[in-house]
Amino acid sequence: MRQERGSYTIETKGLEVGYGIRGVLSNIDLALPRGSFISLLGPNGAGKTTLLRSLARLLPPIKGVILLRERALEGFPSQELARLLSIVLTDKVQPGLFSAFEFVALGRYPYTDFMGRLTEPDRKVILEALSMVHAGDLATRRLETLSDGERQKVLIARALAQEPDIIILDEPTLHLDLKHSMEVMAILQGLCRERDITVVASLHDVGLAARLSDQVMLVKDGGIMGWGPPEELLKKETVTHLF
Amino acid sequence: MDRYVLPKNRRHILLFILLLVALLACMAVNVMSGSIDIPVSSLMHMISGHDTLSTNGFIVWNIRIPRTIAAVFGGACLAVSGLLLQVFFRNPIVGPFILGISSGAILMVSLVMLTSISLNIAHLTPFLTTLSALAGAVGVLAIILVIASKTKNPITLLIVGLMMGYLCHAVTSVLVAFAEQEKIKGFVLWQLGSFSGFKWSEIKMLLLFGGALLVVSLALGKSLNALLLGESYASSMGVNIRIQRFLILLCACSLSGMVTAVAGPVAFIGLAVPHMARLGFATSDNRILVPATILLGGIVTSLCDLAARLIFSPVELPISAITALFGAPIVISLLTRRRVME
Repeated sequence: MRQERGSYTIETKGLEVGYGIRGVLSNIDLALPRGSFISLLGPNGAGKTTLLRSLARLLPPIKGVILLRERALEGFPSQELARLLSIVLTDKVQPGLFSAFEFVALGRYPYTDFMGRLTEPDRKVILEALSMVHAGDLATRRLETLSDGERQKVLIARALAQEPDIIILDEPTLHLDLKHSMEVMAILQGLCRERDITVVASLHDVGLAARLSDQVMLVKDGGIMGWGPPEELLKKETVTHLF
Repeated sequence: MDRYVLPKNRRHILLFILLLVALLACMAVNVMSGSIDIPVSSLMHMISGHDTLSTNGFIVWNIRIPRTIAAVFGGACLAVSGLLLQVFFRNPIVGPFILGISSGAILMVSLVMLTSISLNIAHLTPFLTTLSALAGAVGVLAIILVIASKTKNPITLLIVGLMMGYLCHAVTSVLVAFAEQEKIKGFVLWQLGSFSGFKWSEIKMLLLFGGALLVVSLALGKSLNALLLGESYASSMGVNIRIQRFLILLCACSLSGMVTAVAGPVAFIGLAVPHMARLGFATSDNRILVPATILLGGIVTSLCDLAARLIFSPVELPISAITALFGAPIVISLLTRRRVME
């Protein structure tokens, strides 16, 4: 088990997150084991996105601390953070005229020189990221010609091109049919297993989350209601209680 | 592995060479044609011998060449300004004057041209119009930068810019209402923009400051690309949003403000040229688009200026009329053709 190495990627202590002075979630004490797949479950508006944005340093916490590799998250230089943590959001991304390869190449930002020139190793990382999400054949395709499922895979590849330790995804299966949802989830699981990447994703499908994640986090009523392996946590009562 | 990169790169290099040649050709045609046509052979002679004494030599060196440089360079600045703001606001219909830069300049110029405030200071400088336009542009730019440092939301900034435009416009229209008839005509013509009457001293200033701003804009390409994904993604990739936002706004507004100060508010170039570059090069990669808009902005503007001079010669048409008359159909056809291709 990876947890036995005693390494946690992200820890939070007494964390309260929200907008302005209004806390959405409070008293969050987490320790996310390295290389595990962590799902956030909870009703809409419970604060999953808020928590994820705070963990990605897109939103300053109201109270408490977030530790990344045992260092305070707020203290990281932005380039160093970009090499450790990347994101896939639900924001609509319309960058314009790019091929999938060029789009994924944008993820090399923290590694390239000031003109963003790609070196041979950069190209290798980009192609590898594409093949890791089973999208190697999409490399030359125009971004706007991709289907929703293909697009989501390319978005994940862009996050992978940052060579992160941890990827934070907000609803990665939103707008996808079951087949593509399964594929995306399988890809994410593969990243944990093969690359030792910590994946934190909010999900709306309890079944998918239960089947594929290592840990499940139940977000409701202004806090984390439960936290643990899915087989223990997701008994019938909890689920009915949750939604 | 290179197959993803090379053919496209080659195409881009070819396009750049083509644009450069076209730009030089446009400049030559601009210098040669006018009320007196100057043949290539004597043009070469005049330029190589720095002949400013003969009548034609005087026309070429003191009227045509400054005007050509002003049109090319001013067009390049406006086009880059438009590109920067289109990326910044992630909105394709944004132009360099969306933040009220030109309205500020127009307001200050209207104060000078339409009221009698200028009577006491007119003798101070021959560049009174230029200086007042610059003051107006810088004033609006300062307000925009202060507000940009206080708000995170680009849309708020966009609306503030629009409101600034309306405010300046309101004051200007009051001034117009009280102004004398003959003053109004001069003001209206200034408002339509023109690259005529440039002095070499102005050209040097334009090249120096504009050149520096264009170099900074070239260096912004990488972070502009990251910003195409929105601020959340950009900051997750390591972009320092606050610094980049400041630099982008400073460059975009200074570029357009500077051109407005010397040539008046030349419309449309900043809105249309980035689209032409994007579709011509078939990419949204700003590291390519910034140099492409510089060249294309120069070409389009110098052609429009040529047309403005020649169509109803000796009457000169306002450049903004030409840029819109020719530019709008081109942009529409480019955009719709692309839609069909998809």
